Amino acid sequence: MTALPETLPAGAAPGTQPAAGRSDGSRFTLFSGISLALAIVFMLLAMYPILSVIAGLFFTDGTFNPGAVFSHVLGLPGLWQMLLNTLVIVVVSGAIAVVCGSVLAWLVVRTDARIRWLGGILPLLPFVLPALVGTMGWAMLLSPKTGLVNILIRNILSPLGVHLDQGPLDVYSYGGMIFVYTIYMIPFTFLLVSAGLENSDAQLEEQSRVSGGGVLRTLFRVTIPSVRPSLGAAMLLTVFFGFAFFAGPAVLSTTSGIDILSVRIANILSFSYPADTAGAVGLSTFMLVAVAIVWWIQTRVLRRSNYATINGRGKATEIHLGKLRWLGRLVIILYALIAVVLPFLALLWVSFRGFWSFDWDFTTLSLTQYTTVLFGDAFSSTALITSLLLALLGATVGMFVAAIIARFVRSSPGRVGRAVDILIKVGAPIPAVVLGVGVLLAFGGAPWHLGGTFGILLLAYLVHFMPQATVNADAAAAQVGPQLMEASHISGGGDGRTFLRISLPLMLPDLIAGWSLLFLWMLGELNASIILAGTSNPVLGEQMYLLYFQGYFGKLAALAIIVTIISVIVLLGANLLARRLRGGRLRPGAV
Amino acid sequence: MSDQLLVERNSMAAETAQAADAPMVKVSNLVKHFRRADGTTVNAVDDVSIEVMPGQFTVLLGPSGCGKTTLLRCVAGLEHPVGGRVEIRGRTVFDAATKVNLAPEKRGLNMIFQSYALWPHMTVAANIAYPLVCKKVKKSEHAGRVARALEMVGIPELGKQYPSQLSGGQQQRVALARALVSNSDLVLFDEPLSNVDAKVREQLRFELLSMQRELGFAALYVTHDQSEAMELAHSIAVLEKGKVAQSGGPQEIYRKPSSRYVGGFVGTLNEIDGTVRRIDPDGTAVVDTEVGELSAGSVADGVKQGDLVVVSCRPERVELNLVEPNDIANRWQVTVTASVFSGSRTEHVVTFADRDFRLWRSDSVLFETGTAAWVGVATEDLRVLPF
Ligand SMILES: Nc1ncnc2c1ncn2[C@@H]1O[C@H](COP(=O)(O)OP(=O)(O)OP(=O)(O)O)[C@@H](O)[C@H]1O
Ligand SMILES: [Mg+2]
Repeated sequence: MTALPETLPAGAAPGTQPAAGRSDGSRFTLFSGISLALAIVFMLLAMYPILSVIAGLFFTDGTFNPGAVFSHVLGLPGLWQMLLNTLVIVVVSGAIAVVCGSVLAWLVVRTDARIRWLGGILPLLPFVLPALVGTMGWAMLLSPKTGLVNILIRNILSPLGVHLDQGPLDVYSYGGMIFVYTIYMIPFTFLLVSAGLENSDAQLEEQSRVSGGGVLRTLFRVTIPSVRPSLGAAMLLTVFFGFAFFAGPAVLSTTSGIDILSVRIANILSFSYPADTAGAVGLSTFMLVAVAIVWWIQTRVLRRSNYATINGRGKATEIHLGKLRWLGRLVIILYALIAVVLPFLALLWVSFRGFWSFDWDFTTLSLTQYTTVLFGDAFSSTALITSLLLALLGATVGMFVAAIIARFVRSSPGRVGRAVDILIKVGAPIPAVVLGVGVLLAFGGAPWHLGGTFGILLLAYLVHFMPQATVNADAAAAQVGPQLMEASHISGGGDGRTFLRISLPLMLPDLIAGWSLLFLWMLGELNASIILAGTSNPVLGEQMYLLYFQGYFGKLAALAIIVTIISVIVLLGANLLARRLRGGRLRPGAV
Repeated sequence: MSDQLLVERNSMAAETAQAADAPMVKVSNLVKHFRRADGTTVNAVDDVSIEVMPGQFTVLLGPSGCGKTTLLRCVAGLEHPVGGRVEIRGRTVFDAATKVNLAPEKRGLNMIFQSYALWPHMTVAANIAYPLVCKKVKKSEHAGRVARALEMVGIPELGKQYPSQLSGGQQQRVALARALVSNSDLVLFDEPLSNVDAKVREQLRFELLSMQRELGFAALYVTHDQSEAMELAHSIAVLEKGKVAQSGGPQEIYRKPSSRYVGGFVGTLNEIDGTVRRIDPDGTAVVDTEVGELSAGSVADGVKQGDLVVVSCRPERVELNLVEPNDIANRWQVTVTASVFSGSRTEHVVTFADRDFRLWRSDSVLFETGTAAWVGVATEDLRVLPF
């Protein structure tokens, strides 16, 4: 940037001197160059692994041999049963999740059953207790012999003359799997449907009520049809999520003998010797195809639904449920109990007790497991430190890059901006398991030799979470009116200075909130880690998984509780910090 | 700002204003389209040429949506025009033909946004110091210059506040201080007074005027308020649907509008339809109308003998009498339909041949509705406009 003389007498620069600049769309500057470069790098980092997977389909040991992989995969034992299992469980859980999520959304958005503080954090609950931890907690509650809930039920039934050796409930079954899938799908359906409800024209409903339609008639005749696009999008999202879902089935699949696609990919790669790369590549292709189809349909449905929504004209008056209000509240609280409180309590007990036993022996409770995982067990403590470092570094770098890109996309409406936006989101539909396989193929061996390193984990996390990070950063960028940046340019600030001094500080509160989510995702990441983490770089998700299957339930529970406490602290801390930064001044969006 | 600098500035402004041959801003044939969401294109700026002279106050005037803001933003470098050319201080900052497009921060101008665009995360002082930081002014000078700028806009005590803690008028003053602190000789304004209430607006307008005359910067000022334009401007460009309908001094625009659009926009216009019988060599015209033959002192460009035209006059230039005013060239009979006292003047509405005329008088005589009266308009106060 050249400093301008402060005043120029008129005519001091006679004649015309052409200056640098371009005329097609946006001006090309260093800042847009950097944004574009970052977007391209991340796109390549996402595409290269996927191309490696696809190449792996056609090349075996460097020779073109497309038949080999296909016949190998088609010959895998129980292939069709596994695909059928996956499909049935995903679709059934998805349907249940859409119903439950919609009921919750309706209760929270439209009725007086809402519990204000709980409504806001409902979608965040799965972050507090990651799916891996939650599922393990539920296994402790619902396993047929030693599950707490089953013990309680048997204790109630036996005085009534019904004696059971085990059960009656069994988490290691289709029902149990569907239950766990549903728990973790509900936040998505809840979010989509409540957004739909908030956008739909409340006056239509009020019109129906005024015209004499009761609460139920209004619900079925007006409300549900008006959010139909959201319901469709929610259903697709659950399918999309369900195919890639790993943590839940990883815990349950082996014991139950119900084979699931995502689990099988990880198993044949990480837990069988020799690793069956060809099989993993072939199965990844199945998943990619399924996910690609859903993604394609979803973008079409979402596009149409955008078209169909009427943007909130006035807030609907809340519906008074009368006596049913308490029932409504109970439903909301029940979900919180199921998603977080009950599994957390089960883990808490096991962590203090030292092993999986609900004998209510309070005399033996101790902190031994905690001191062991923190100071005694090298793997656990290393995993904790590695994961914290990864999450800290990954979330910070990821959010910073995402902020640059989001700012750039927002301020350049031209073709370049749109291209960057598309490039950065290319990796979004790739399941973490598949990305893990791809990253391993692409960067694990020659010439990079990153296999098992900290670097390959960081790379996989960044690539996997970058699309979501840019979505969060874009929400932050949307809060800052364009004139604030323009005023900076006019004052003589270049792109870089404007970003660092104006955009970034103004986006900061929302970026911090986004950072905390990214941090939590990375802290508990399991899918890609299980494929990529080596013995020298154990990470939390993988370590908990191993402890569970080695039967160290005390250590596992202690580790899980530590992760949960860190998650809550980070989430609360980030939100408090964000609120403090916002406080004392108007929202920058006021411009 | 130091007195010495002020003196320099004043003399510079005076010189350049008299020299008046090298424009500060020269916009030639500028074109800017927008594509709306439904696919249609809007010609927001359509072949516009204007000039801003050094030290002069130029106002862009026009109704909402006529492209004022877009034109201003093109000059600032915030929009990317598709055609034409912009020169600032003789230097080409935009030229569609040679693909020159200088970034806003390199155009050496300042701008005040309609919404002020103060940065909410910085104190008032930090907001004002920002242009100094960007222009690499020595750090030791910052505090002094910020303080002088705050002094100048009349809020010396507010430096440590955040923008959200200020009233609208105070925020406006901060925006002004931020634009003036770097002593730029060109400041762009986008309806800076439209967000404050009427009293504050008047006060700020007055202060702005004296500041501009004192500091001598060239101003390009957007507004849709014609009285604001008249008060502030050395010259006005009236925009109509992205084109310049007329440009000139405030008096000229008011007294000699080139069209009914311009005349009606800068003030109230009374109109009578007619046909031009002849145009005399001295520029006066004789027009046949429903109240008989009228002689008009001036004729808009392009009007020819035999044309269907509108004869127009301003409300304050019409005489109203109970008896026939024999000494006025154009006079006819009317009926008073309304007569109200509005403080500084009385306003009357009179009817003749299904047509209303409004007229304003400085006396406080009111007429009863239905009173038969005469109006009279001097030849020099009638102007012939294209129909
Ligand atoms: N970013 C944009 N995209 C599409 N159309 C636009 C955009 N900006 C302006 N327009 C259109 O260009 C025309 C001129 O807009 P502009 O903002 O310059 O008007 P204006 O004269 O400043 O009006 P106002 O007095 O209301 O501020 C309008 O028709 C407007 O709808
Ligand atoms: Mg405007």
